[in-house]
Amino acid sequence: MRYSGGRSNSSFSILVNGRAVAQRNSTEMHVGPVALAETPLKIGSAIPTGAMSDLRIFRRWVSDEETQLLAEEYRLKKLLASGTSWSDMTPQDQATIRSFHNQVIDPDYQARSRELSATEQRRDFIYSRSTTTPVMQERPSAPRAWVLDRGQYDQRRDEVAAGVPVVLPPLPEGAPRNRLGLAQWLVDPDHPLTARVTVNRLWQSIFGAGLVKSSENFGVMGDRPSHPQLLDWLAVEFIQSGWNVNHMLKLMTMSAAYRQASTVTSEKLGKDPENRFLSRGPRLRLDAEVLRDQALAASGLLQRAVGGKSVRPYQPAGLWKVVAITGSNTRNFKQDSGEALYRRSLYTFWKRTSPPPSMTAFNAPTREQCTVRRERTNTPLQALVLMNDPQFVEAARYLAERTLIGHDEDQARALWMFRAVLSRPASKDDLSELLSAIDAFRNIYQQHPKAAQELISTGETTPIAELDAVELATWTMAANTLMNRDDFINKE
Amino acid sequence: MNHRSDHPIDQWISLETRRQFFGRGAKGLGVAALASMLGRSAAGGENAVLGGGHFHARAKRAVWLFMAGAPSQIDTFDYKPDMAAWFDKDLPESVRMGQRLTTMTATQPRFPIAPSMFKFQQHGQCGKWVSELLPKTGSMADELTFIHSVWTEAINHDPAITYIQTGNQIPGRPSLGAWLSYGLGSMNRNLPEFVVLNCEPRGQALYSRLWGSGFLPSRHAGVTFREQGDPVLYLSNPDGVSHELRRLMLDRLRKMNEQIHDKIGDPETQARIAQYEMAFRMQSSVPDLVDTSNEPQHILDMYGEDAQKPGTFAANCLLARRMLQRDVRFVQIFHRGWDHHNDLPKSIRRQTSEVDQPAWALVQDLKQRGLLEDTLVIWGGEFGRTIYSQGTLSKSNYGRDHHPKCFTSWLTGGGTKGGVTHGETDPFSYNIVRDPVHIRDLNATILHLMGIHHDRFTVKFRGLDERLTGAEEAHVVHDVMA
Repeated sequence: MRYSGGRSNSSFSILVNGRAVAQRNSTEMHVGPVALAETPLKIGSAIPTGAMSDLRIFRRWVSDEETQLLAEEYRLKKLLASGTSWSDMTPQDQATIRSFHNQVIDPDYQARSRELSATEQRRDFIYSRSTTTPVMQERPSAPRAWVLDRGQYDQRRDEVAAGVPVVLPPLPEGAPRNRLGLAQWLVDPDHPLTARVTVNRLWQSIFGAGLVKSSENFGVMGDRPSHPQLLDWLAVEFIQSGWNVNHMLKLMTMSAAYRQASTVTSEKLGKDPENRFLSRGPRLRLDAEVLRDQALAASGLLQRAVGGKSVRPYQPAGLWKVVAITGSNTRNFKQDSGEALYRRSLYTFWKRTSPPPSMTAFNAPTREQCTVRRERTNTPLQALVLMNDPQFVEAARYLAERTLIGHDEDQARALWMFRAVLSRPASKDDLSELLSAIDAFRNIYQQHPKAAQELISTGETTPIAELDAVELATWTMAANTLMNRDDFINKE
Repeated sequence: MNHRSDHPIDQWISLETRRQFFGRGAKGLGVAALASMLGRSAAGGENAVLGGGHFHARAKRAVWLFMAGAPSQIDTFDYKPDMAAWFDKDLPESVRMGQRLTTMTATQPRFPIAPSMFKFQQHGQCGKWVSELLPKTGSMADELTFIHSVWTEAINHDPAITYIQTGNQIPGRPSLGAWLSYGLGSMNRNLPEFVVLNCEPRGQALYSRLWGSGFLPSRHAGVTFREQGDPVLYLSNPDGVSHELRRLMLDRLRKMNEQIHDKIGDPETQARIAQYEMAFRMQSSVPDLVDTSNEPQHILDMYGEDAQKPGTFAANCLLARRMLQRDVRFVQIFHRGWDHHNDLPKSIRRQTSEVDQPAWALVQDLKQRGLLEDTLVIWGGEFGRTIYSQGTLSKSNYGRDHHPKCFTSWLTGGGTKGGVTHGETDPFSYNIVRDPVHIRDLNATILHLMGIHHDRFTVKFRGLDERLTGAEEAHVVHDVMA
């Protein structure tokens, strides 16, 4: 066994006859250099069987060549003492002796060796302070797996090997039975499912439902496609475009089917209740993440930076603690501050035993298992989130601030705010409803200026001091109302 | 999944009619709109897929007092007087029969028997032996049905609690409460069908999946009422928005949404209008529900000194009664901290002292209001504990490891018998010798009492007919029914 005194996995190796056979493979920390204890240190006292014959401490790293040399030391001593001539020695012995000469006698070799060792140490130091990146790598030997009887971990039955379902095409000729082989198999243009499943999922994300409605199930128990030829055509187009997702989304969003109005008539509802025949454009409630991002984007609060670690935006207090085990490192929720509060929802930290409630209210999956198709419910809890979650209230206030700063007079402000929220100009009816609501809100806040001050204090950002509290609260309520409109919550 | 049962065209026409109704500017339209929109079935609740259930429901409501962490059956209800002579003797191999153990005791050199150090005494006409730890529970033994033979395959908390709650050890299935909500629908218009009350966080973790809806629509998931902040998340208006202002905002919003509906005609828009009205009503009904200040002193005294201390088992039992009274379908209270691997005597004293009186009070309170007849009460954990000691054993201190092969639960109300004991374990409380009740049998029995045939209550998911009780045959325990 060789130990360099370091803390990385490469600091430990096990050698047999001087050759390294195994390296430590673990992510756990081991104890640091032995501290000086009161009791005498007993070397090898913890070895369960066998004994230790030799222990050597070197001032520097011992290379693989050197360890082999050490293992051979006694034999070579005998060989040289026996007077055997150089030419009579085996090539292996010659190499070993040459190596001994280099390392023990030749000063130039030793200098270079030290240089190498220093460089390697420096490399190790650089590795040790960089962040850990998990890398997937096939194990040298294939992992073993068994059928566990009734799922009991101690009830192993038949051993099973990696493979693909027999109803599907076999793995490509000569493909390795590992992830690489699986990847080759998946993206083979002849694979009957990959492209169809993928374009169906893209279709689902655009139209609300896939051409095959059971987008997670293309098997015999799944739904039949509503437009089988269209599905095939899209799949071929996807493969021929070089698996270009962007191209497919563009194709779908620019289609006549997608660009239809979402208007429902009793005739359409009667003949095509679920819009399976695309008698109208899709209309569907936005996903949880999109809804939050949309509110942040409309308000101007959204942080668009890409990448980075997960963030903890607003969340009611105490949720994590209720479910956590004692000592859990996510027992106490600590809200982030600043820009982290306004990042896209995909960066929101996810505690699986207690997912963010403002997102699960809108059917964000619990992540207990893979979810390809989300349901879309319509509940009172959703109304409560959109009306009362500080994230949405603050977004409304921030939008109100921008409205008041950038525009004069109610009408211009109302038109701008409406467009900011709904991405379309307000109709005459829209405008008059909004203006009338604003009058009503203003009337209340003029009577209760303290309430106005309270409302605009929601959230971490501070409202612009120059703005009149009553006006800002009035417009905050206006924005809150707009962000609860059915056409804000739905895509149509 | 789309569970609207009516034909869409009928729905659309009914919406048209309702639009005229809205046009008249009627007050209180929320209730009316919601009721007609969801379609109230005659026997069952609103929006029930089973209508009135498969047969006569003896229980309309249920409350499960869940003892998370697994209480020791040996120190509470499963009286084993012969064990006193076995103190510190090894558990015979003929009893254990090579059964799988947890990694916590699998390497123990021996399995010394730890008799319960607690005294048992007989209660009521039925003469039920109950531990001194649970005097109040014992005092109502004539009303309870004890099942000593509940068992499970799972041996660790996470799979075991997921199993008993959802019928499967693997996460992702709907919980019992979600199934009940889905099948039987709502009996009230202002509160959720399925409510979860958590007690002080202690010991093993819980998971929101334990009251999750799995593959059922997510509105059937349990709603957790919290002891801090809003009882229901996001219930309160932000500071500076009064109830009146919210009403005004909602009136304006409704007008806008009606315009949208006039233009687009999507029935979902009308549903959303109704949901905003429901949210508004919850803003009054929920605070009213959790406000126990108007409870008379003698009721508070029944539940004990913690009755008004939020988050305690006592306060949650009182809340549960208020919910059941308001026709919440299913309430589940999670009381945590029953995982007594060591120092069992000390820990179980605390646990039982918290649980005994409030559980008794809840049953008595339901009874005196005439609610116990059709409200099922269930008490129990996710598995049992071993007769042998984990760690050091002394006369007054020991621990017990997980034991899936038998544990005790009790039922009362909702069409169950009283003063009965079902099932029996061997003298070691290790193996069941009579009438085993698998946890899926227990769940089938609960469904049965609620008017549901467990085998026929299925939902297609990923090509399978999924049911709460799983693929294996489950048996309703008719012996516990009155």
